[in-house]
Amino acid sequence: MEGMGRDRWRRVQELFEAAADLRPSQQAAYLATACSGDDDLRREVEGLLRSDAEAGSFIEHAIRRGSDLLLAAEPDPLEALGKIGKYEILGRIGEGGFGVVYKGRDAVLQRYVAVKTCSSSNEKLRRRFFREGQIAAGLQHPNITTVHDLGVERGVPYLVQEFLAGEDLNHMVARQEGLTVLRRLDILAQVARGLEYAHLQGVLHRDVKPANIRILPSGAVKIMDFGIAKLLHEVSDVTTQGVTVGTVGYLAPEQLRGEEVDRRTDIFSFGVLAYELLTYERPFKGSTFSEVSYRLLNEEPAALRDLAPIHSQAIAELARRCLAKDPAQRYASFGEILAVLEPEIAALRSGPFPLLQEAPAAPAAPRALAADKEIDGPGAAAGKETAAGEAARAPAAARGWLLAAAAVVLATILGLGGRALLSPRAPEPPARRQAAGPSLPAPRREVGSPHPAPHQGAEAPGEPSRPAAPASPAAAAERGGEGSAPRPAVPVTASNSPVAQPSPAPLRARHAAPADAKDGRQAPAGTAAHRPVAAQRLDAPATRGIDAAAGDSGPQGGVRAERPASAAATAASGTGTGGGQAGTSGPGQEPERASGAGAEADPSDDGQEVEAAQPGAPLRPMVRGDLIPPGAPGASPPRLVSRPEPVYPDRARRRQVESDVLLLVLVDENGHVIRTIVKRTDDPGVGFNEAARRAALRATFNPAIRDGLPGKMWTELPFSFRLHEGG
Amino acid sequence: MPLIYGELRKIARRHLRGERHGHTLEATALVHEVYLRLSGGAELHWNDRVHFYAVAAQMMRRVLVDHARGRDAVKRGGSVVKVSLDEARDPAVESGPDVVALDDALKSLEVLDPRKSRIVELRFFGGLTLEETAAVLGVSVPTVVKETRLARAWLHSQIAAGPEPPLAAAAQAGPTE
Repeated sequence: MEGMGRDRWRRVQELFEAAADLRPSQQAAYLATACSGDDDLRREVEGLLRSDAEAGSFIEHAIRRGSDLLLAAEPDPLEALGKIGKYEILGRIGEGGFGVVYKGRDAVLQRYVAVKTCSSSNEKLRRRFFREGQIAAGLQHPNITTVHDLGVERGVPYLVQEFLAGEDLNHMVARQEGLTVLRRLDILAQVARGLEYAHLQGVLHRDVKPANIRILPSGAVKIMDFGIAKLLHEVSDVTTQGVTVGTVGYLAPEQLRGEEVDRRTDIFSFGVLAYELLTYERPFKGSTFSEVSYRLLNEEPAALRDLAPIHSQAIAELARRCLAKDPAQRYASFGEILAVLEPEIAALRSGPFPLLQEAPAAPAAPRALAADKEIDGPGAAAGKETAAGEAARAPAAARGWLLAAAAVVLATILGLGGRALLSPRAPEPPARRQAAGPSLPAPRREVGSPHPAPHQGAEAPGEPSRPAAPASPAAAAERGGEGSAPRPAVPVTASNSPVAQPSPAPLRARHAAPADAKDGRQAPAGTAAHRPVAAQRLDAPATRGIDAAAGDSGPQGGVRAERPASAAATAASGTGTGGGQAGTSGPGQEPERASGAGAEADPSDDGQEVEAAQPGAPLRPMVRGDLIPPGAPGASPPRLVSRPEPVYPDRARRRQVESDVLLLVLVDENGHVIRTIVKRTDDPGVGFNEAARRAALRATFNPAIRDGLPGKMWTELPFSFRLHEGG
Repeated sequence: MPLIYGELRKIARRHLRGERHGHTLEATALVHEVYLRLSGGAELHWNDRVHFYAVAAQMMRRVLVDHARGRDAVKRGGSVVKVSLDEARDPAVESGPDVVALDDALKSLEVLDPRKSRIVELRFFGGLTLEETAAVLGVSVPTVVKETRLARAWLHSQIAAGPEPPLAAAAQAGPTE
């Protein structure tokens, strides 16, 4: 090739480019003609065309292997020893900032430890590692990883810390773990407490991000890599004055600019973390570093409540202030942040629980159902808004509602198998107790299905007839309710052997009765819809559930179908079509509760529930445009009129991926969708959620009606993306 | 240069370690980070940034290749300069062309057609976008696309026909002269 002349190479290029766009079958003929007897030339081009077809991503792969090699080269003389200090080395846990992290065992104290080493041969770096280790050791706080020991083995400094089980927050965020609002706030508060303490000791973290937050099975939160992060920065700064390295996207503007950092820098990073945890969206997104940093420096993130309306204004404001570009605009300390967080948490935890109080005898709480919805997130929004709107009048009620919702959700989540959170000692005991308390002692574990993924799939076999009418959020709530009750039976098993968990079918069966009962009462209209939708999807993936539903009288039909199965209770409660019955909160609830108000454990409904809650009787007369809680007496849910086809995301098409996305949409009094929340999805991150949301925003409904007046109401809107069946 | 090189290597290693379990690591990310560090976070003019990336892409290639060569030397008991840090340990076995083979082929390509070689370096080692690559080289985006394709095919055939064919199917004579 070296000998190839310019002209010849140019000729090769021309032929290659011309032939490359032809079909393989045409290439030979083309080249035969074009090369006119120059067989060498023809072979050359043919060879390139062959390579073109075979090359694939070999360049990327080769580079990737090169990268891996670089990494693998990290030597570790200590590992070979099998021992570091008095600690027996059991294996690598990971690679830390400047060395390896091992799982070790302290034979004397009989406990596991994490041993971090500093494998650099740079003397200065080692001394610093040691010094920072000392600083970290000086931090003793329940929310900061405890340092047990610091030593030097064969010249290599090592730091021994408590061994932490559980999961890093970034993983939970990445898979959008269904977490209750309460849980999320609790995590944030724990992080804030740890940081507040550290700041009081004069120590900055400087690399606050989800990957540095470990959630223990007990629910406790530990901030990791204290001091070490700082060390890292200092060391790398040696050559580049003041510039900080951190994970792009969590750095504060002043860090990006290489300016002085102080505690408000950690506050900014905390704000990013909080925003992400509360919305599962990064405030500053972008696919490249420059994009992210540009936004971070110049743009305001979307308002928190636009993404996750379930959160209160106070929390939204908290995030906003933490993320102020100018440090002076931020909170001055984590103490101030806690002053916002703690009351919110306390309210969620201990707010009055009206329904429970009203119907103490009932085992389960209707509230719980409602709760279910709330929690999940965005869905929760509906509940929250309601709460907010009526807060003045019935703050207590709202709170209780939230609380319940949170509890339910929590239960749901637990059920789902969120490994990290599930532990029995979850952080929100009060909530849990309230929600599940009456009926079951230990709702948490019950839900067995460890994996969220399956949910989508196995939907109720038994409810085929449900044409997916826009299900009301209430329905979901309901489901939530059902879940918990039945669960109780399973708890132990579940927790012990997740694998053995009951299959969806059994669960479902168990739930069925309660569910129905509820349906009848609580979510008159759309109630059943939820499941049915799912069922439908399964049966006929390509189906546009909605469309079908639209034409259909919908819920009713479904409801009726279910009825038979449901208990007499249902009948009693009144199957109303529009949910009329639901009303009688007191008495009506009892039955439900019994049936199981807890969390929805149903595996098929996964943890992403975002249901609407049922707030109970209206406190004041309906006004046009009011938010109508799902299941509100006398209310009929929005009816889908038209739904545009979503655009199949390019990325998804390229990867030949299909998906189902179930949205919760808030339909206003004019029938327009004004908010969307992804309730369930199996979008692997290729744009389905966004496509569904876009389409949903263009859908039109007949608005929900209550007392003869149109109002806002959440409902479900499913989308199926299919490559071939009309997708 | 040396400063960038050292930084890059350091950051590359840290990145590789830290990102292991998370998102895939891309040389691109490293380059961006190096850029961040070296630019002091200052807002560089777009042009300057692009050129910085171009330099960083070259450095990235050197880091990876030098390291891989060093390892090879150790493996063979050879005496080639040991460029990288602490190698010593070995080897992950690889299949498919490695970064050294790629580097060799790129050098050949550079003789034949320097711009294509540069395109590969910028896009794959540097992670530059099509637009950025086009800007650095002063050509149009379609040109970058076209040339990338040919360069890739050429490199692939070159490696397949190379003296130490890493590809099983490579034994057969290549189309080269």
